[in-house]
Amino acid sequence: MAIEQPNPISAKERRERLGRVTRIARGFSFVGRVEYRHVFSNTGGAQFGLGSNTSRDLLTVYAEVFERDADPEDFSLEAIIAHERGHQVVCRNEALQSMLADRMTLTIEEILASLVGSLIVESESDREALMLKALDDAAGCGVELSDAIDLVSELRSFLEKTL
Amino acid sequence: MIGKKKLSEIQADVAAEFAKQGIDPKEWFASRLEKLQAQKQPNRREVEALKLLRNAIASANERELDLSR
Repeated sequence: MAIEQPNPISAKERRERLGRVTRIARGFSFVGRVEYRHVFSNTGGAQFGLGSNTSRDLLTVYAEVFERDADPEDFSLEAIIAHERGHQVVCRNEALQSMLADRMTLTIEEILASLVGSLIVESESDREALMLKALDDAAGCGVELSDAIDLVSELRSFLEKTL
Repeated sequence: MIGKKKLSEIQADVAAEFAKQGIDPKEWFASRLEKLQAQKQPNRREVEALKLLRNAIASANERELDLSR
């Protein structure tokens, strides 16, 4: 089945989108290549790709991220990119990797990426949004809500101290 | 990946989970923060993280109330 695709945009607008995404990513100290693809994806809007070294890491941002950013009830572009930078930090931080190596699962990585994102975003609403995302992922593992809140608070505190 | 779930859906799910468990989030966070801050050396970072979650959930609850009016 064909996936609905975004309306075409001009080359100028495409460059502007890439420019905006790149500025935000670099502002969060993202290292590696940044690209914008004017297609809808299954990622939620952006994806981190781990390269053979940091300079080969890849941040790909898709068209739906701009639709989500325009929706006041959804994550902002900054929050989404901060989350992806969070993946880079989690994957590239040796201390973190050695401490969590045998406990790292996709869900733990998602929780940590949101928490790192919450530490680097500027706006309070983005910080809160990424904390909620981490809580939702933690609660999604079948953990009691109160335990999930404790886990997320403790992990954020640990990351703030460690990074 | 941040996933396809909208922020408003996450807010609604968390608010519903509190309601399902019969917990008033305002009271729950107040008691949790009181306990943390009563410690000899309160963990400032953990207190901040808990306050962020409290505020995020409070905004979600306010939104739900607005929608039900």
